[in-house]
Amino acid sequence: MKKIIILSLMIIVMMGATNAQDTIKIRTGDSQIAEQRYNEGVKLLQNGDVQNAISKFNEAIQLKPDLAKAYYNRGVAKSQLGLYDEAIADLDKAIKYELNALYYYTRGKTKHEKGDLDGALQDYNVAINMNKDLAEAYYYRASLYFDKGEYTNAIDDLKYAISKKSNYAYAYNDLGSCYLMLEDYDNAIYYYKQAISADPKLTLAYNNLGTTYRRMKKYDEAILEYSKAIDFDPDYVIAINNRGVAKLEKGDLEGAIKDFSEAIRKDANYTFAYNNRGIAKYRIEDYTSALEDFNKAIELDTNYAIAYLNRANTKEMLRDKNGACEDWKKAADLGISSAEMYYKQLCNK
Amino acid sequence: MKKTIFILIMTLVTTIGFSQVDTPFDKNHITDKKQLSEANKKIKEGDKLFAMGKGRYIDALTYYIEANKINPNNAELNYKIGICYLFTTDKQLGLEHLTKAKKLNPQVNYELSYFLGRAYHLNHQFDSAIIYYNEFKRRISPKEFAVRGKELDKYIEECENGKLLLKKKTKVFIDNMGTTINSIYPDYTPVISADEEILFFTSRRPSTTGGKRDPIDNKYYEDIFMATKSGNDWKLSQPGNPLNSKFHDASIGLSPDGQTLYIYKGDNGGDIYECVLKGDKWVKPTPLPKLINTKYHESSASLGPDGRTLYFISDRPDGVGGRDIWVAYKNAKGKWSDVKNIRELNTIYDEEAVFIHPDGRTLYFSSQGHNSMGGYDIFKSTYKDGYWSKPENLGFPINTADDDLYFVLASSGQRAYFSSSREGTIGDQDIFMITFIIDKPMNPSTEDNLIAYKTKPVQEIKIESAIAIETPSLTLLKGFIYDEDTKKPLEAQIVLTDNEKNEELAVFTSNAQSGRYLVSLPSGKNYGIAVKKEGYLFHSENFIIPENAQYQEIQKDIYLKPIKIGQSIVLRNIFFDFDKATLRPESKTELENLIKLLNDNPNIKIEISGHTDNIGSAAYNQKLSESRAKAVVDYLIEHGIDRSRLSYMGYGFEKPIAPNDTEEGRQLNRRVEFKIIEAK
Repeated sequence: MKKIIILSLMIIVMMGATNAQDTIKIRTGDSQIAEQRYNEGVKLLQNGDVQNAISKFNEAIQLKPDLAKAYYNRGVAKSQLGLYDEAIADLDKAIKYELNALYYYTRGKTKHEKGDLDGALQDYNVAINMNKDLAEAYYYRASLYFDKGEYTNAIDDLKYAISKKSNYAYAYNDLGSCYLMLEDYDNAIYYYKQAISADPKLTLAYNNLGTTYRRMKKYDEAILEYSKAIDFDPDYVIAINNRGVAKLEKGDLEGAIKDFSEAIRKDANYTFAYNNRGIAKYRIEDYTSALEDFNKAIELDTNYAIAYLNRANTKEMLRDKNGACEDWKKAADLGISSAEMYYKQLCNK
Repeated sequence: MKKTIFILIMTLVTTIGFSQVDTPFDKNHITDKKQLSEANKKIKEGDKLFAMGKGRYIDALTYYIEANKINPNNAELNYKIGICYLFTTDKQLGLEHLTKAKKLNPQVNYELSYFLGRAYHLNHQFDSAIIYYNEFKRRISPKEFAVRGKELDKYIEECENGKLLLKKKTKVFIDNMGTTINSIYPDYTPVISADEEILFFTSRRPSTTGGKRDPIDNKYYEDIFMATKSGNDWKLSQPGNPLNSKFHDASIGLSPDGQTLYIYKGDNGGDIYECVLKGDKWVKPTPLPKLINTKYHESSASLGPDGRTLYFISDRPDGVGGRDIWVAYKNAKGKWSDVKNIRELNTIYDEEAVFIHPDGRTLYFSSQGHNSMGGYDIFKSTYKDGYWSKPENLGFPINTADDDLYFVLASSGQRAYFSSSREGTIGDQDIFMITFIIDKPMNPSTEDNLIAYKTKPVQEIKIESAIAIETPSLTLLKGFIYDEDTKKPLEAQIVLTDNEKNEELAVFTSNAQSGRYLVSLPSGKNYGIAVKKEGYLFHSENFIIPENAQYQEIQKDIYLKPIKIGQSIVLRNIFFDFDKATLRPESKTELENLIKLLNDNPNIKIEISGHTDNIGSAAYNQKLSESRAKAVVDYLIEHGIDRSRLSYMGYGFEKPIAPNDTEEGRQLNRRVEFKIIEAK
């Protein structure tokens, strides 16, 4: 898991670096102080010194208020700090002074991260119209479509991104995910395998491939793929938990418990593993231990609706009807309709 | 005590040693002459009882155990002890002793593999059981195979059934009913009223009427016991005469309202008797007519909710085989008139312990056939579109490889009662309560890094839909009937009508002492209910219960009004076409009730009044209500009631009996009333 986070952070940093506008060539004999400050800012930003980079861009803008590149890079820097509104304001200025596909793309991505999906879509559209070869714009627009559940649109964009950038492992992975969501498992498997082929160390693609097999009830294949992901990253608790679920569904309850316990050992706050281990224990009719796991899951996340439902079912088996009713009620209040049905039918006084 | 044990152990060590070889009871192996003589005496006594058959195995066991203490390594003794345990108190010990006998001497008896098959079978180790049954099949001569082959094949089939049934256990809690109900003596055949308020069962305990034992099995004679619900507990009573006699009296069925009990008596090859509760007294049991009771064996009876359909067991000829389920119908005059075999539920093996649920369409019974895993298993079948469904085995742990019988289900469908000698008994057979649990899906949580650039994984939120909790399609209407003036309980007739067919479905009577009544209303009908008693105005209720209605209990106390000036009643079962004054055919029964009341009481004059809700103008409603009241009066005149005794009024929405701001209230306000305006 840690490895994934580090990998992802690296990617963001890399993307940031890619997005940062290059330095400006200083003409001989021209003092060009604004451009100098700007260039210093770019170097600082590339080195990860975001705060000082912003100071340099501030100076550059003060000296030259129409320096679009400076606004752009300050926007990129602020976006990296999570200051999305300020970043968007800078990117607005950059666009004002210079129409550039990259600026629209970057503003779109910032809006995307902020959660303004419509605004993001508009900017990606403009960027793509201005530069049809901007593979990243297609990639991120696809992820936006994915978030909106528009998987067919996402697939079109990802395929286009791949046509512009071969060996685009991320795009292949996301394509697999689109097909997974559409329950077109054959295509999902094909593209996850393409992603792995493009980047054999793309751990998450192994996990996703495992999940595809699990959904197809091909548990042995699922367990194999999850195991590969775990081999690459022994701390990848998502894959450990998923492998446990594959074993649970396969009926290997002992193996499932072992995996969930391993996930808990790696991350003691991983609520899903407690919930899932509770289920495995319920299945072996060890209701008291199951209850302890559901208690822990709920202690870690007091709004964990599914855990309330599962705990209610467990309390029922422990003949704690009042406790079961309380939990069905809580799960129903958190939006689980089946819990509402149980409450209505079994808890009438 | 310690010293005795020490001596005993030492004796065993010196006489038999530690070896596990077949050790005969002779002086070469048991040097202590006294012990040897004692052991042989016990074995001889045990053998005598053993030879008498299964009924005496428990007595034989007492002697055998004593001998076994002296020499636990005798193959033949272990073989016999194993058989005794197997068919009496402890199937596990039975298996252990038979296994030991095999180990000591595989040739101890040519039937060893047969009994090992039985032992594994009864302990639910079906694969091993099949191996031994097949081994036994190979060992016996063709002549013996001709006699026993079918039995062995049946056992093997039961084991195959058991393997399948054990794969999917039925989720239930099975609880002993406790010492208020159960005793160390046999307690069995529970029967229960539809609302689970009254439980009857049979017991063979010392307090039996007459206090005598049956010389055949030396157990006390059967007596019927009654328990009534008191909060969460039961209060036990022994009804005494005439329900119980000095001999065997066993409860076999109870009508849903708890007012009629069916009893089995051994007369005439085994017959069914009926007892009716009048107030708090049971009238003398009377045998059911010859159409039901024959010279053959009749047992187990269950009355349908209409009071006119009786399911029972008989081994009379023309059945499918052995004991079968039969059904008898009562005609409109109240006589049992037709009997038929329910062929689709019967097998060539025996069926027993039939129980029709108060929904009138779900039948439970025990059978040795179908896909039984051994002995009698309990099955369920539902009646739909003129057919009984394929019987469904209730599964393990309700059913076991041994006999499982006398299953009765509460109206709510949430609990059932049966008797068993399984683990957890206080002694011998006990009555157990089953609580059904719906097997609910458990929901795992997973997540994946579906979008490569995002660190935040996408959660897979897939919650299994709830398993629909099947409840019986049934409404229980229950309560008490009182005199409105004195508030004293009344014994009144409750006439149930299918309004759509204008057909009388059933007639019940409330209890004379308590006024208590209970009526089962299976879903899918428009019910008219008329509560009648001479000298009182009839009371009418209407229940339209759709086919998909879930189980519900309605408590309704009814106060009957004595006939006198000023008394009025609402005629709940008079229906009109929408927005018209045309009487619908469903009103016929209610109108006939009204005509009968007027004919029975020629000295009364009445007013029929129409009432509406407040939807629409006052003038329109007044006119509609008046037309409707007039339509009723016209009907009465047409059917011979003197015009001079009748008047009608339309009150529109002037006299509401409920607020008009809800549909429920408006429905109550749309009504026709009847009022006595003169009584000479």
